[in-house]
Amino acid sequence: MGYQQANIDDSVLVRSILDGQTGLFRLLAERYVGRMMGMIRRLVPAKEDAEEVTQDALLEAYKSLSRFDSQQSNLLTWLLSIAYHMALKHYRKASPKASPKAQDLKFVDTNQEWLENLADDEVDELLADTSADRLSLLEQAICQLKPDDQMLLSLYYYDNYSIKDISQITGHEGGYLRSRLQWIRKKLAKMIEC
Amino acid sequence: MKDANEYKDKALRAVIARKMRTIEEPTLSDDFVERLMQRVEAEEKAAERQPSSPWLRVVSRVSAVAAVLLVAFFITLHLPSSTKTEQSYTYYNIASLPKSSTLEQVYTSHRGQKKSNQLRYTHFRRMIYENK
Repeated sequence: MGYQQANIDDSVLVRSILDGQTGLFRLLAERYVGRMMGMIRRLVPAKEDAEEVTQDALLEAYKSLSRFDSQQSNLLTWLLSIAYHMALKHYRKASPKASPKAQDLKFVDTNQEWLENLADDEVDELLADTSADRLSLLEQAICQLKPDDQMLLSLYYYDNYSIKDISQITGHEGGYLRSRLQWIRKKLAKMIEC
Repeated sequence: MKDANEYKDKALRAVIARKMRTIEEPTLSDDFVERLMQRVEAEEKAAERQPSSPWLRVVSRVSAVAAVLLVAFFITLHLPSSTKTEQSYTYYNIASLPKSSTLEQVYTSHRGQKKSNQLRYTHFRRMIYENK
């Protein structure tokens, strides 16, 4: 790979590929495949499957490259959005049953009343407690969440993406994501409350 | 409502970080990019075979549907007469007219239809078999 090619700007790279320099897609793939695969493996743990989903996601990106709008989002966020949806689709199709058992957890019903009764300060306190027991419970509680909720947590707390970026990746409205995050926090707090 | 990363949630962050670390650093097969580029090239060739203009693509699809319908029409036309519902229906309608009806009257009674060979054939068949 030439030095000049390696430093080529994302928008120039996309334009060149769309102008017919298909070979440059290799550069785009090499640049972002790690991040895409990392995202996909959160939902598709098996390496072989994750590779296949990553291939499909990159091919999908190639096919819809003309729809990429650099004014709307950056290339990485756009690619991660494709990777996220592909991984979620694969996850739902495979519907794995293997999730760690959580006998120690409290039963949390779907009735939302308890959410209103739980004070924000109490939630903050519970989710800040780093005692070993609490961390262990919290780990089990996270495993009980739906995959897209787990993904939301990882994007927010691990990748430190803003709500705007998460909105672009997942396709959900910012308002929905904020209230969803709040709901997940309260649910986790309730599950680990002793 | 707090916005991005205003939640400290030290314990939650620690657990998620630990969970993420268990997802091993992604390592790809050596031929990953090669396989991908082969698929990209195949996609490119498939796209070249298709008309580039969206209008041409629409026209090509419409032509394909029209061709299928045309074939279906000719197949129907060459089916044995007993299977032709339309023919039986035409015969039934003509049979309800007086026996002395002329071909022009038959055409008039089937205003919705053209002066088709079908009507002419059914009319004369009726004349031969019923007016004997």
